[in-house]
Amino acid sequence: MYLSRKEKILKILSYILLIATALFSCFPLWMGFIASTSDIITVISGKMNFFIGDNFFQNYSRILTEGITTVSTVTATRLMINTFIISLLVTTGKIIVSILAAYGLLYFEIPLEKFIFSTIFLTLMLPIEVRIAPTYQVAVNFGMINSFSGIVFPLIASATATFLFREHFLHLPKEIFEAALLNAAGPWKLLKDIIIPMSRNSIIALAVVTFVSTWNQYLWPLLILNDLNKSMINLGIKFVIAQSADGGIVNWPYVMALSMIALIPPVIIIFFLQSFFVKGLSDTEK
Amino acid sequence: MSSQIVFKKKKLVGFLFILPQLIVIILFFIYPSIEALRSAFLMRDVFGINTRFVGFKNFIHLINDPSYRDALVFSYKYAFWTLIGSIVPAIFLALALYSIKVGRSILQSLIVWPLVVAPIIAGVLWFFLLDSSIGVLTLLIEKFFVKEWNPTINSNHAFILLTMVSVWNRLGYNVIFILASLHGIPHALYEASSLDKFSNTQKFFNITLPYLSPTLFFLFVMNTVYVFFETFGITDITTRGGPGNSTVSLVYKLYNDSFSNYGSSSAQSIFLIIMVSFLVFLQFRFTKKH
Repeated sequence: MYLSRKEKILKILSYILLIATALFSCFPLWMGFIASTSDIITVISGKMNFFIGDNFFQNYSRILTEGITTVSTVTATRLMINTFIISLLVTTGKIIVSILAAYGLLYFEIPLEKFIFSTIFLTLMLPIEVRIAPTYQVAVNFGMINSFSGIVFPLIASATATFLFREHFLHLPKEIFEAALLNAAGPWKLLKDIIIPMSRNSIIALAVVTFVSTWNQYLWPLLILNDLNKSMINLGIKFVIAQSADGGIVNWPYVMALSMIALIPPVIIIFFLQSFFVKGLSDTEK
Repeated sequence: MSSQIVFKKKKLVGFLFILPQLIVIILFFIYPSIEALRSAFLMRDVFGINTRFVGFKNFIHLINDPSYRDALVFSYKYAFWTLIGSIVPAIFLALALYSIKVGRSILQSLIVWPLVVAPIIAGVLWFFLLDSSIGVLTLLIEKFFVKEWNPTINSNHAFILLTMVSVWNRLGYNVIFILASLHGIPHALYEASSLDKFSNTQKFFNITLPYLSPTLFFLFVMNTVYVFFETFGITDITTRGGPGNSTVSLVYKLYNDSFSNYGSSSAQSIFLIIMVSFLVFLQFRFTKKH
């Protein structure tokens, strides 16, 4: 009797803790959304309350169709399309390049295998943040400034993705290779018809995580994309805030409307593809 | 390593499969890093045209540079408080989620979703809530905690703002990993401990915590990596390193110096590479144990 009562209290405490944390997680989003539906005077005079304002349609249609600031003609729609294309290119590129590399490393006798393996491994120690200037110089030399390729290429090489596929291939049943060899299937056919279909879940999980992390890129695009029209949504947010840097007023309704739009794809993924996202996280990071 | 070889005598084909990956890595990873290493030993003249070899001078300058030391101290302090703020509560949240049935998946989603938010947007959302003049939370803080809240002029407030953002951004990540490892604890252990009349606290310290410890170690590494390398966007959109230089992190400093201070920024790159290597080493120690 005593124990069950104690458990009841624990259960109630659990719910209180969870609901409070859920509120903590959602509150900034809610207030950002409110600001995105308000007019700027209400926001900067501190009269904003907790309910949807009158400018929802006005603010969103303005940034989606006319421009993200009063002086810019670059629209949020343009930025979203750019970000979407870049994220898709990085995701497919990374998956293709990593699968090929893992396949080559594992099933072929190749010269300098150990050396190549360590070279790929080494990239783990070299995130973009530690080699900003020289990598930027490479992009300049290739004429990649203000182009999608400048963003995409440095992001598609991934040691973690390569090791993930290598690990996955290692656990495929050996019989399939014997059968394939008996039928005289070539390496390309084996990869395309058997190995890739058998790796479906790993591929989706990696795709979901890569898409979100590319969508959220900031530092590298900041260097490469100076032309706002070719830029990504996060840089649009920075642009609107920077407009007011010298003592001006931040146009919070536009900043928040942009942020809300930018959040849609990642939030859809975490709510509807959570299991794949979580699998992807633990596959790539653990 | 080579026990799986299926296609013998096809060396060239195999190499072609690896080639795309290798080209990208050499062009965008290896070459720039060698370049950073090389220029860490060079210094540019005042006109920015000629360089000369200066040995370890750049490194010595850097070690003696108070602003570098400040950035180092700030980064560790920032990492420390983010670790405490996002891992300790995550343990309790994961336990709470583990113990309930009704509403579990919706509560989990509502709690963990900020882990997919870009750091810069996380920064924007909280910057707005904690703005000194229009922030909704500022009123509350000024009523209960400090007389005047202003992250743009008070470096402690700026620090709290940044920590708040990264804890909010990171909490869900930790909850997910801890929850997954709670599911891995064999039920029989708890049943046995119930027979031995263990209290809940005893169960927590004798079973749960030891079981979680590898995961907690992993999270310690991953959150440190996050604070060091992914919080650039938060800083750039909120404090911009200020007030003064009080919130300049190692990566933020490297970014600022990258295009103005040739030799020093290269030396900074090398120090950072050493730090990342150490973190990767720790991460692999963890993976091997599992």
